[in-house]
Amino acid sequence: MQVGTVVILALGVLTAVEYAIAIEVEQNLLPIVFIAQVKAVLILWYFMRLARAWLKGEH
Amino acid sequence: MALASIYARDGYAGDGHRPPEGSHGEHAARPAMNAVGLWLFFLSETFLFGALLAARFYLAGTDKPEHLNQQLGLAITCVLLASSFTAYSAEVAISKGRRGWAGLMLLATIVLGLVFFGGVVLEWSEAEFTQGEPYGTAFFSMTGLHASHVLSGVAILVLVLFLLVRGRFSREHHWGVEASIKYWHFVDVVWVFFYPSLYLLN
Repeated sequence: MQVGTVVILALGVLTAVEYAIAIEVEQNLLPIVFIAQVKAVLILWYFMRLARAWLKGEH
Repeated sequence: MALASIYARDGYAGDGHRPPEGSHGEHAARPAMNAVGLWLFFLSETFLFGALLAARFYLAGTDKPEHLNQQLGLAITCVLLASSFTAYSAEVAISKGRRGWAGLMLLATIVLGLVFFGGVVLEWSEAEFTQGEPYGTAFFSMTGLHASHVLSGVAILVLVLFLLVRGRFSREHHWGVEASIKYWHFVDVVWVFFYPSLYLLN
């Protein structure tokens, strides 16, 4: 559960950073795509437990 | 397939067909097969959403209209992210046998999903562009298909909540809860890419 809390906080911070970049930076394609990828990996790895599915097989 | 996964208990579809006694190898392999099927379903959906994402840039480049409601876009994104957390909490709770808390978290996820859907409806109603414009085509296609997945996710979660209340799932056997929540997270991952491509890129 603690992991989930840390992940959701990280997702919130990354979304805020993403939004700030969109407002402040003119050419923002690369940083925004990078942040979106990090967010997706966090959800896939921790919320969807991709590691367990990939490495061990699910129960 | 998703519905079959939800009804599955002990890894089997709830159709009353059990393996013959002694076929323990197959019995053990079935839950893993369910998981593989679910991930293959996600893969096929990824191609669908990926095609839409590519179409957005093909049609409109990185252009976006001046009058997009950025606050609304940010708000519904936060709502969907929060719903992923409540869904995760529900999964953790059922895996520990805390069915009451799991039900409450599932209910919270359903409510947040409906709030997200309401946000998309509001967005559509106040959009100052039409589906005839390149950006409008991409916007309505992407948000429309995604919102339909959110709505189907809500329907699946309602079914899972109903089954949970009726005692269908336990700490040992909760594949239906897990599969539906994984689907919910997948819908969230899709929005993680759709949101910046529609609202944020310059």
